[in-house]
Amino acid sequence: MELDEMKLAWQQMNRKLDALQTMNANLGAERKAGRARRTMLRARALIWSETIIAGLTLLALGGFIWDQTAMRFMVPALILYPVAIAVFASGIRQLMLASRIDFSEPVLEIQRQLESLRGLRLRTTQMEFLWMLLLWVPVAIVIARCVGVDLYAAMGAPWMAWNVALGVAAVPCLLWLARRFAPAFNRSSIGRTLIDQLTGQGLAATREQVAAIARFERE
Amino acid sequence: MRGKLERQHFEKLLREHSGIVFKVVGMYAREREEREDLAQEIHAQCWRSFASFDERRAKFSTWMYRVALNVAISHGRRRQRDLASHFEPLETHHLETIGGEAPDDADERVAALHAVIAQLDGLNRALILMYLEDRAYAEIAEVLGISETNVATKINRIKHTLRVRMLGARAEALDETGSS
Repeated sequence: MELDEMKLAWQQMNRKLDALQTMNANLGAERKAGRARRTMLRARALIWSETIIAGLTLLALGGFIWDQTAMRFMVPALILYPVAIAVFASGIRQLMLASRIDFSEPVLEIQRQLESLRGLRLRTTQMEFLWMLLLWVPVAIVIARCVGVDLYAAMGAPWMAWNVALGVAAVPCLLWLARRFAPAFNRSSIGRTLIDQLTGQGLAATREQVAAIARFERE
Repeated sequence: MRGKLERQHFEKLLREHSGIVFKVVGMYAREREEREDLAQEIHAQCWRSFASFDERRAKFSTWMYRVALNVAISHGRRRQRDLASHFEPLETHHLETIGGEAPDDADERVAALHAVIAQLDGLNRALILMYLEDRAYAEIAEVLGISETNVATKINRIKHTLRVRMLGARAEALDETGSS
Protein backbone atom coordinates (compact mmCIF):
# COMPACT_ATOMS: atom_id res chain seq x y z
CA MET A 1 0.00 0.00 0.00
CA GLU A 2 1.50 3.30 -1.05
CA LEU A 3 1.44 6.06 1.54
CA ASP A 4 -1.01 8.03 -0.63
CA GLU A 5 -3.42 5.11 -0.50
CA MET A 6 -2.85 4.94 3.23
CA LYS A 7 -3.85 8.60 3.50
CA LEU A 8 -7.12 7.84 1.68
CA ALA A 9 -7.86 4.96 4.04
CA TRP A 10 -6.82 7.13 6.99
CA GLN A 11 -9.27 9.86 5.96
CA GLN A 12 -12.05 7.26 5.70
CA MET A 13 -11.19 6.02 9.18
CA ASN A 14 -11.17 9.58 10.49
CA ARG A 15 -14.69 10.14 9.19
CA LYS A 16 -15.81 7.14 11.27
CA LEU A 17 -13.86 8.40 14.28
CA ASP A 18 -15.39 11.86 13.92
CA ALA A 19 -18.84 10.27 14.03
CA LEU A 20 -17.87 8.35 17.15
CA GLN A 21 -16.46 11.51 18.64
CA THR A 22 -19.78 13.33 18.21
CA MET A 23 -21.59 10.48 19.90
CA ASN A 24 -19.10 10.41 22.75
CA ALA A 25 -18.81 14.14 23.29
CA ASN A 26 -18.41 13.78 27.01
CA LEU A 27 -14.78 12.66 26.86
CA GLY A 28 -13.88 14.00 30.26
CA ALA A 29 -16.47 11.79 31.93
CA GLU A 30 -15.35 10.16 35.12
CA ARG A 31 -17.20 6.94 34.37
CA LYS A 32 -14.13 4.93 33.42
CA ALA A 33 -11.45 7.20 34.86
CA GLY A 34 -11.22 4.94 37.86
CA ARG A 35 -9.68 1.98 36.02
CA ALA A 36 -6.85 3.87 34.33
CA ARG A 37 -6.03 5.85 37.45
CA ARG A 38 -6.11 2.72 39.62
CA THR A 39 -3.55 1.01 37.35
CA MET A 40 -1.22 3.98 37.51
CA LEU A 41 -1.65 4.46 41.25
CA ARG A 42 -1.10 0.75 41.92
CA ALA A 43 2.26 0.76 40.11
CA ARG A 44 3.44 3.78 42.07
CA ALA A 45 2.06 2.46 45.37
CA LEU A 46 4.07 -0.74 44.89
CA ILE A 47 7.35 1.14 44.60
CA TRP A 48 6.49 3.36 47.57
CA SER A 49 5.53 0.44 49.78
CA GLU A 50 8.67 -1.54 48.88
CA THR A 51 10.84 1.48 49.66
CA ILE A 52 9.10 2.15 52.97
CA ILE A 53 9.34 -1.51 54.00
CA ALA A 54 13.04 -1.56 53.06
CA GLY A 55 13.59 1.62 55.08
CA LEU A 56 11.81 0.21 58.13
CA THR A 57 13.77 -3.03 57.72
CA LEU A 58 17.01 -1.05 57.77
CA LEU A 59 15.98 0.70 60.98
CA ALA A 60 14.89 -2.56 62.57
CA LEU A 61 18.09 -4.36 61.55
CA GLY A 62 20.18 -1.48 62.84
CA GLY A 63 18.45 -1.68 66.20
CA PHE A 64 18.76 -5.47 66.23
CA ILE A 65 22.52 -5.36 65.53
CA TRP A 66 22.99 -2.71 68.22
CA ASP A 67 21.20 -4.86 70.81
CA GLN A 68 23.03 -8.14 70.11
CA THR A 69 26.17 -9.29 71.87
CA ALA A 70 26.35 -12.80 70.46
CA MET A 71 28.02 -13.05 67.06
CA ARG A 72 25.75 -15.89 65.97
CA PHE A 73 22.85 -13.44 65.90
CA MET A 74 24.79 -10.38 64.77
CA VAL A 75 26.36 -12.03 61.72
CA PRO A 76 23.05 -12.96 59.99
CA ALA A 77 21.79 -9.40 60.55
CA LEU A 78 25.04 -7.97 59.18
CA ILE A 79 24.63 -10.19 56.11
CA LEU A 80 21.08 -8.88 55.56
CA TYR A 81 21.97 -5.23 56.13
CA PRO A 82 23.67 -4.47 52.78
CA VAL A 83 20.83 -6.24 50.92
CA ALA A 84 18.29 -4.02 52.70
CA ILE A 85 20.40 -0.96 51.82
CA ALA A 86 20.49 -2.02 48.17
CA VAL A 87 16.70 -2.52 48.04
CA PHE A 88 16.08 0.82 49.79
CA ALA A 89 18.50 2.69 47.52
CA SER A 90 16.92 1.12 44.44
CA GLY A 91 13.46 2.15 45.64
CA ILE A 92 14.60 5.74 46.16
CA ARG A 93 16.22 5.77 42.72
CA GLN A 94 13.03 4.42 41.10
CA LEU A 95 10.93 7.10 42.81
CA MET A 96 13.36 9.80 41.70
CA LEU A 97 13.38 8.53 38.10
CA ALA A 98 9.58 8.26 38.07
CA SER A 99 9.16 11.80 39.43
CA ARG A 100 11.37 13.21 36.67
CA ILE A 101 9.40 11.66 33.83
CA ASP A 102 7.35 14.34 32.10
CA PHE A 103 5.15 12.84 29.41
CA SER A 104 5.05 16.16 27.56
CA GLU A 105 8.75 15.87 26.72
CA PRO A 106 9.87 14.48 23.32
CA VAL A 107 8.77 10.91 22.73
CA LEU A 108 12.19 9.29 22.29
CA GLU A 109 13.56 10.76 25.49
CA ILE A 110 10.57 9.68 27.56
CA GLN A 111 10.52 6.18 26.11
CA ARG A 112 14.19 5.86 26.97
CA GLN A 113 13.54 7.01 30.54
CA LEU A 114 10.58 4.64 30.90
CA GLU A 115 12.66 1.68 29.75
CA SER A 116 15.47 2.66 32.15
CA LEU A 117 12.95 2.75 34.98
CA ARG A 118 11.48 -0.56 33.93
CA GLY A 119 14.94 -2.12 33.72
CA LEU A 120 15.78 -0.89 37.22
CA ARG A 121 12.48 -2.25 38.54
CA LEU A 122 13.07 -5.64 36.96
CA ARG A 123 16.64 -5.88 38.26
CA THR A 124 15.48 -4.95 41.77
CA THR A 125 12.67 -7.50 41.78
CA GLN A 126 14.96 -10.19 40.42
CA MET A 127 17.55 -9.36 43.08
CA GLU A 128 14.93 -9.41 45.87
CA PHE A 129 13.62 -12.79 44.77
CA LEU A 130 17.01 -14.43 44.36
CA TRP A 131 18.42 -13.00 47.59
CA MET A 132 15.35 -14.20 49.53
CA LEU A 133 16.03 -17.73 48.30
CA LEU A 134 19.65 -17.54 49.36
CA LEU A 135 19.18 -15.65 52.62
CA TRP A 136 15.96 -16.98 54.07
CA VAL A 137 17.88 -18.75 56.88
CA PRO A 138 19.49 -15.53 58.21
CA VAL A 139 16.04 -13.91 57.92
CA ALA A 140 14.53 -16.75 59.95
CA ILE A 141 17.31 -16.47 62.61
CA VAL A 142 16.77 -12.71 63.02
CA ILE A 143 12.95 -12.92 63.14
CA ALA A 144 13.06 -15.86 65.56
CA ARG A 145 15.45 -13.94 67.80
CA CYS A 146 13.09 -10.94 67.80
CA VAL A 147 10.37 -13.18 69.28
CA GLY A 148 12.80 -14.71 71.78
CA VAL A 149 13.60 -17.96 69.96
CA ASP A 150 17.14 -19.19 69.45
CA LEU A 151 16.86 -20.97 66.09
CA TYR A 152 20.35 -22.52 66.46
CA ALA A 153 19.25 -24.28 69.62
CA ALA A 154 15.78 -25.07 68.35
CA MET A 155 16.74 -26.53 64.96
CA GLY A 156 20.45 -27.30 65.17
CA ALA A 157 23.36 -26.52 62.86
CA PRO A 158 22.74 -29.42 60.41
CA TRP A 159 19.22 -28.14 59.75
CA MET A 160 20.60 -24.65 59.10
CA ALA A 161 23.29 -25.93 56.75
CA TRP A 162 20.80 -28.13 54.92
CA ASN A 163 18.41 -25.22 54.35
CA VAL A 164 21.17 -22.87 53.19
CA ALA A 165 22.20 -25.53 50.65
CA LEU A 166 18.55 -25.95 49.63
CA GLY A 167 18.26 -22.23 49.02
CA VAL A 168 21.36 -22.23 46.84
CA ALA A 169 20.13 -25.27 44.89
CA ALA A 170 16.65 -23.78 44.51
CA VAL A 171 17.91 -20.93 42.32
CA PRO A 172 18.95 -22.98 39.24
CA CYS A 173 16.03 -25.39 39.78
CA LEU A 174 13.49 -22.61 39.77
CA LEU A 175 15.09 -21.05 36.69
CA TRP A 176 14.86 -24.39 34.89
CA LEU A 177 11.24 -24.87 35.98
CA ALA A 178 10.38 -21.32 34.90
CA ARG A 179 11.78 -21.88 31.41
CA ARG A 180 10.32 -25.38 31.10
CA PHE A 181 6.78 -24.47 32.18
CA ALA A 182 6.68 -20.87 30.89
CA PRO A 183 3.76 -21.52 28.50
CA ALA A 184 1.57 -22.69 31.40
CA PHE A 185 2.41 -19.60 33.44
CA ASN A 186 1.88 -17.28 30.48
CA ARG A 187 -1.89 -17.71 30.78
CA SER A 188 -2.00 -15.29 33.70
CA SER A 189 -0.42 -11.83 33.88
CA ILE A 190 1.04 -12.55 37.35
CA GLY A 191 2.56 -15.79 36.12
CA ARG A 192 3.96 -14.08 33.06
CA THR A 193 5.50 -11.30 35.18
CA LEU A 194 7.05 -13.87 37.51
CA ILE A 195 8.56 -15.85 34.62
CA ASP A 196 9.88 -12.68 32.94
CA GLN A 197 11.59 -11.62 36.16
CA LEU A 198 13.00 -15.04 37.06
CA THR A 199 14.40 -15.83 33.65
CA GLY A 200 15.56 -12.32 32.81
CA GLN A 201 13.41 -12.23 29.66
CA GLY A 202 11.88 -8.97 30.84
CA LEU A 203 15.34 -7.41 31.18
CA ALA A 204 16.36 -8.68 27.76
CA ALA A 205 13.19 -7.16 26.28
CA THR A 206 13.94 -3.85 27.99
CA ARG A 207 17.48 -3.82 26.64
CA GLU A 208 16.15 -4.54 23.16
CA GLN A 209 13.69 -1.63 23.49
CA VAL A 210 16.48 0.74 24.50
CA ALA A 211 18.51 -0.46 21.50
CA ALA A 212 15.48 0.02 19.23
CA ILE A 213 15.08 3.59 20.50
CA ALA A 214 18.77 4.27 19.80
CA ARG A 215 18.37 2.83 16.28
CA PHE A 216 15.30 4.99 15.66
CA GLU A 217 17.24 8.09 16.71
CA ARG A 218 20.05 7.43 14.24
CA GLU A 219 19.52 8.68 10.73
CA MET B 1 -4.36 21.81 44.57
CA ARG B 2 -5.04 22.86 41.00
CA GLY B 3 -7.48 25.73 40.56
CA LYS B 4 -10.95 25.44 39.12
CA LEU B 5 -10.02 27.93 36.36
CA GLU B 6 -7.03 25.88 35.35
CA ARG B 7 -9.22 22.77 35.19
CA GLN B 8 -11.79 24.53 33.05
CA HIS B 9 -9.08 25.85 30.72
CA PHE B 10 -7.63 22.36 30.45
CA GLU B 11 -10.99 20.73 29.69
CA LYS B 12 -11.70 23.36 27.04
CA LEU B 13 -8.40 22.67 25.30
CA LEU B 14 -8.98 18.93 25.63
CA ARG B 15 -12.38 19.18 23.95
CA GLU B 16 -10.98 21.33 21.14
CA HIS B 17 -8.23 18.79 20.48
CA SER B 18 -10.08 15.60 21.35
CA GLY B 19 -9.52 14.36 17.80
CA ILE B 20 -5.86 13.84 18.61
CA VAL B 21 -6.73 11.40 21.39
CA PHE B 22 -9.17 9.56 19.16
CA LYS B 23 -6.63 9.19 16.40
CA VAL B 24 -3.82 8.08 18.66
CA VAL B 25 -6.11 5.60 20.36
CA GLY B 26 -7.30 4.34 16.97
CA MET B 27 -3.68 3.81 15.92
CA TYR B 28 -2.56 1.96 19.03
CA ALA B 29 -5.63 0.05 20.19
CA ARG B 30 -8.14 -1.97 18.28
CA GLU B 31 -10.71 -3.34 20.68
CA ARG B 32 -13.29 -1.04 22.24
CA GLU B 33 -12.39 -1.70 25.87
CA GLU B 34 -8.70 -1.21 25.19
CA ARG B 35 -9.44 2.06 23.37
CA GLU B 36 -11.46 3.35 26.30
CA ASP B 37 -8.71 2.41 28.75
CA LEU B 38 -6.04 4.05 26.64
CA ALA B 39 -8.11 7.20 26.13
CA GLN B 40 -8.64 7.56 29.87
CA GLU B 41 -4.97 6.95 30.55
CA ILE B 42 -4.09 9.69 28.07
CA HIS B 43 -6.57 12.12 29.61
CA ALA B 44 -5.27 11.41 33.11
CA GLN B 45 -1.67 11.93 32.01
CA CYS B 46 -2.54 15.11 30.11
CA TRP B 47 -4.01 16.57 33.27
CA ARG B 48 -0.99 15.55 35.35
CA SER B 49 1.40 17.08 32.82
CA PHE B 50 -0.69 20.20 32.19
CA ALA B 51 1.28 22.23 34.73
CA SER B 52 4.32 21.93 32.43
CA PHE B 53 2.45 23.22 29.36
CA ASP B 54 3.69 26.63 28.25
CA GLU B 55 1.76 28.23 25.39
CA ARG B 56 4.80 30.34 24.51
CA ARG B 57 7.02 27.31 23.90
CA ALA B 58 4.76 24.98 21.96
CA LYS B 59 1.31 24.66 20.46
CA PHE B 60 -1.17 22.70 22.54
CA SER B 61 -1.58 20.18 19.70
CA THR B 62 2.18 19.49 19.66
CA TRP B 63 2.22 19.15 23.43
CA MET B 64 -0.79 16.86 23.37
CA TYR B 65 0.68 14.65 20.65
CA ARG B 66 3.74 14.13 22.82
CA VAL B 67 1.75 13.16 25.89
CA ALA B 68 -0.70 10.97 23.97
CA LEU B 69 2.02 9.17 22.00
CA ASN B 70 4.18 8.60 25.07
CA VAL B 71 1.24 7.05 26.90
CA ALA B 72 0.14 5.02 23.86
CA ILE B 73 3.61 3.65 23.08
CA SER B 74 4.12 2.59 26.71
CA HIS B 75 0.65 1.09 26.78
CA GLY B 76 1.39 -0.76 23.54
CA ARG B 77 4.56 -2.26 24.96
CA ARG B 78 2.74 -3.42 28.11
CA ARG B 79 0.03 -5.01 25.97
CA GLN B 80 2.61 -6.64 23.74
CA ARG B 81 4.08 -8.27 26.79
CA ASP B 82 0.64 -9.49 27.84
CA LEU B 83 -0.89 -10.54 24.56
CA ALA B 84 -0.05 -11.14 20.96
CA SER B 85 -1.00 -8.18 18.76
CA HIS B 86 -4.72 -7.84 18.17
CA PHE B 87 -4.21 -6.47 14.73
CA GLU B 88 -4.89 -8.80 11.87
CA PRO B 89 -1.62 -9.52 10.06
CA LEU B 90 -1.37 -8.39 6.45
CA GLU B 91 -2.84 -11.09 4.27
CA THR B 92 -3.04 -11.37 0.51
CA HIS B 93 -6.81 -10.80 0.53
CA HIS B 94 -6.13 -7.26 1.77
CA LEU B 95 -4.41 -6.56 -1.54
CA GLU B 96 -7.70 -6.84 -3.37
CA THR B 97 -8.99 -3.84 -1.44
CA ILE B 98 -5.99 -1.57 -1.93
CA GLY B 99 -6.67 1.15 -4.51
CA GLY B 100 -10.30 0.07 -4.84
CA GLU B 101 -12.63 2.94 -5.58
CA ALA B 102 -15.99 1.39 -4.84
CA PRO B 103 -17.62 2.71 -1.64
CA ASP B 104 -18.12 -0.88 -0.43
CA ASP B 105 -14.34 -1.25 -0.27
CA ALA B 106 -14.06 1.54 2.31
CA ASP B 107 -14.24 -0.74 5.37
CA GLU B 108 -11.86 -3.26 3.84
CA ARG B 109 -9.43 -0.49 2.95
CA VAL B 110 -9.47 0.68 6.55
CA ALA B 111 -8.90 -2.92 7.65
CA ALA B 112 -5.96 -3.15 5.26
CA LEU B 113 -4.62 0.11 6.70
CA HIS B 114 -4.73 -1.37 10.18
CA ALA B 115 -2.95 -4.48 8.92
CA VAL B 116 -0.17 -2.33 7.48
CA ILE B 117 0.09 -0.24 10.66
CA ALA B 118 0.29 -3.42 12.76
CA GLN B 119 3.61 -4.22 11.13
CA LEU B 120 5.14 -1.02 12.47
CA ASP B 121 6.62 -0.68 15.94
CA GLY B 122 5.38 1.98 18.37
CA LEU B 123 7.80 4.71 17.29
CA ASN B 124 7.28 4.23 13.55
CA ARG B 125 3.57 4.10 14.15
CA ALA B 126 3.79 7.53 15.81
CA LEU B 127 5.71 8.83 12.80
CA ILE B 128 3.16 7.50 10.31
CA LEU B 129 0.23 8.78 12.36
CA MET B 130 1.54 12.34 12.23
CA TYR B 131 2.42 11.98 8.54
CA LEU B 132 -1.11 10.78 7.74
CA GLU B 133 -2.44 13.75 9.72
CA ASP B 134 -0.49 16.05 7.37
CA ARG B 135 1.68 17.40 10.19
CA ALA B 136 4.73 19.32 9.08
CA TYR B 137 8.06 17.51 9.29
CA ALA B 138 9.23 20.18 11.75
CA GLU B 139 6.34 19.39 14.09
CA ILE B 140 6.87 15.63 13.75
CA ALA B 141 10.55 16.15 14.60
CA GLU B 142 9.62 18.29 17.62
CA VAL B 143 7.16 15.71 18.94
CA LEU B 144 9.45 12.73 18.52
CA GLY B 145 12.70 14.44 19.48
CA ILE B 146 14.59 13.71 16.25
CA SER B 147 15.82 15.92 13.40
CA GLU B 148 13.68 16.91 10.41
CA THR B 149 16.14 15.14 8.12
CA ASN B 150 15.65 12.00 10.16
CA VAL B 151 11.85 12.32 9.78
CA ALA B 152 12.12 12.62 5.99
CA THR B 153 14.56 9.70 5.79
CA LYS B 154 12.33 7.48 7.91
CA ILE B 155 9.19 8.26 5.93
CA ASN B 156 10.98 7.40 2.71
CA ARG B 157 12.25 4.22 4.27
CA ILE B 158 8.76 3.21 5.44
CA LYS B 159 7.36 3.95 1.95
CA HIS B 160 10.03 1.72 0.43
CA THR B 161 9.48 -1.06 2.97
CA LEU B 162 5.73 -1.03 2.45
CA ARG B 163 6.18 -1.06 -1.32
CA VAL B 164 8.51 -4.07 -1.09
CA ARG B 165 6.13 -5.92 1.24
CA MET B 166 3.16 -5.20 -0.96
CA LEU B 167 5.04 -6.33 -4.06
CA GLY B 168 5.98 -9.52 -2.28
CA ALA B 169 2.40 -10.13 -1.15
CA ARG B 170 1.07 -9.36 -4.63
CA ALA B 171 3.51 -11.85 -6.14
CA GLU B 172 2.24 -14.47 -3.69
CA ALA B 173 -1.34 -13.66 -4.59
CA LEU B 174 -0.56 -13.98 -8.31
CA ASP B 175 1.11 -17.35 -7.66
CA GLU B 176 -1.96 -18.53 -5.77
CA THR B 177 -4.29 -17.36 -8.55
CA GLY B 178 -2.10 -18.99 -11.19
CA SER B 179 -1.91 -22.33 -9.39
CA SER B 180 -5.66 -22.40 -8.66
